Amino acid sequence: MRRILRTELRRGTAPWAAAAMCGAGVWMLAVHPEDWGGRWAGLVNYLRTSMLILCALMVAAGVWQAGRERRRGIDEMVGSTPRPGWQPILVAWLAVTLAGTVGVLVAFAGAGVLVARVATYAGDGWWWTLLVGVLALGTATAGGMCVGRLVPLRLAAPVAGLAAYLALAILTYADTKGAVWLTPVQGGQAAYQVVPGRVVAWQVGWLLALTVVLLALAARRWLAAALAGVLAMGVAVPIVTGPGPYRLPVDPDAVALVCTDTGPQVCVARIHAFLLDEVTPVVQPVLARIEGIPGAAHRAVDDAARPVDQPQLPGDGTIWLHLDGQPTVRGGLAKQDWLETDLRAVTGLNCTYDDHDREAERAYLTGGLAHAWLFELPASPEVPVDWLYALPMPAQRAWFADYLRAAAACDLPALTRLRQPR
Amino acid sequence: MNGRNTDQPRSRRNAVDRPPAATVPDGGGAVASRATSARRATSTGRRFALHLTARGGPAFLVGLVVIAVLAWAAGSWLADRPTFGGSVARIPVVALAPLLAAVLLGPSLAGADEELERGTPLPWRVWRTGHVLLAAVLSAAVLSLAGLADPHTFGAYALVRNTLGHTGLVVGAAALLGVRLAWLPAFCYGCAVYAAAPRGTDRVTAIWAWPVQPSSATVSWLVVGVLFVAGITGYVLRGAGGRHGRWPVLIRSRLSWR
Repeated sequence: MRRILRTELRRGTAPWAAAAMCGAGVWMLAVHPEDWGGRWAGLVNYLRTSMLILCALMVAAGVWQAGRERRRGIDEMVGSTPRPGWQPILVAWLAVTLAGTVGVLVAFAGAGVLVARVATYAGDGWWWTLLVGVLALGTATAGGMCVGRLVPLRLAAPVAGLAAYLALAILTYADTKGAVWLTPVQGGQAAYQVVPGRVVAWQVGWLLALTVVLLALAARRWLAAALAGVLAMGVAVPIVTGPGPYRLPVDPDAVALVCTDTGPQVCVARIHAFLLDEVTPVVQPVLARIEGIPGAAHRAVDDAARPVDQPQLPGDGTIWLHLDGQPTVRGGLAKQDWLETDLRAVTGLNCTYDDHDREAERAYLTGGLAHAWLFELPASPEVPVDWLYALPMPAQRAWFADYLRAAAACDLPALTRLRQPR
Repeated sequence: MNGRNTDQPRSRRNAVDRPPAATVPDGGGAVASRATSARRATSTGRRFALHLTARGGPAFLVGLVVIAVLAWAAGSWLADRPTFGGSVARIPVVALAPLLAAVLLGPSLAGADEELERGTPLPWRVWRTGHVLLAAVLSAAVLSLAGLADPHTFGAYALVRNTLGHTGLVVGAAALLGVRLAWLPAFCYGCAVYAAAPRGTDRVTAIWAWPVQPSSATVSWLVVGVLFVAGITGYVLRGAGGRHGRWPVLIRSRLSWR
């Protein structure tokens, strides 16, 4: 058995599967480094996001492997040997699964080296996320083997791959229902959120049972397939009827705050702590400019640490920074303009207004004036902030305090008045 | 399909082998010429039908219709979802339906025995040109029906562009790798671009990620035009590669074990 496995690994579809999966893994990592940079849990979550493509490729590889005997015209000859039919299938499946998994893990291990250089929080729950991902690769290969054995079409490999992709994508659209746990694809989960252990256990059971079903179908072992199918459905029921991935629990250690020691307070979650040195020079000047102004924010905090039931409100004294999609591979800040967008919340209006409301439009123009003052932008015809800069600094700060008071109360007449030069 | 000397009945061969109309004496010349033209048209039509049958034309057509219907259903469903932003949500359909159609076209690019076909006295370059152009136009027309609602926003125009682009990739790959693996480059490229989900619409992005660009991106059309022309030119001039394509012998021997 071991000799056959070695031959399959060297001469079968396995080496090509390993190369394709490694290439796909590297490509996926390269196109969105901001989704995983600097975070172990983010890297593993991204592996699960990439399952949308990786599983489709494994399905195609499985189909190709299973159709080899038919393509070579030796399927009848192999079938006439006394060796049980499930054995070559199992070995071929194992070879492709091992090779594909190694290919993916090599790519992600390379990314792991980059993460290790900057990560500030290790955590431990992500091992289970990784395990489910690896099992899913085996299930996908088994699905491909099943299709390859049962569908004797030349184009079975690409069509099955695309069909697998579509099926997984459709399941992920049900992102608030429990059924989404049936797919190994995990999208939209933050690195500091945790999948409950109960769900992981059910997922492991589901994927193992489904793998057995698919391999039994490929080997035409109908009884074994039926028994494993019953088991798979038994596992699927609690998954489908359980809660979906909406509002997953947060890892409290990952979101523990790490703050600056000097100057206006800037705090980030521990999992984002490697960004603190990058975030601080952008945020602290803004905080310093409004320090001491009544109603102005006095600190900036990572939104990861915001309690789920606490809304973001203008005038609550805190600027919430969204850092989930910010880290670069080297631990830098990917999009400084996103950070500036977060800072703009300081001058936000606590209003809901109609598009045709002229007074509200004028009020928003005043907001542009406040924004320009906050970031010390030059005057322009649309934002004539030069008259504000001409005032003494105490008067400028008093104007900004008036603005914040009017914005928090959505006092449109007051906001319109503040637009007039003094 | 395999040439007039191998699979046509004797009466038809005699008719084809008759002298051309120009040698018939005056008086009956015009009538004979018309009759010969009609016979040629009938013969060409019959060969065309045989060609399409031998190349799996009906199966391709059925597959194409199924893809179009699924694309229309999926596109409508995605566009109607309130959280997905309307017609923009049809990107998956625009990226994947043309890819699938082009993949289905692959097997039709060569007969059961390409070398045997090359030995028949037919103008194969003309036949290849007609085959690919007909398939491309048909695919683009049928798939564009799935995106007629709001055609500018990831609708009919983008479907037409992507169909032409993926067809060019598959046809070019058929000339290089053979029809057995003709689907591979387009499949890998389509999956890679869609997985990358590039958010930009700048010129460089429009070049490497044309399948997911809006139809208003002129550069994406230029890239598709180049791919389509290059793919068709390669296929028309060289035909589909044999069982293992036109790779060097060393690589061929490695591939033969897979």
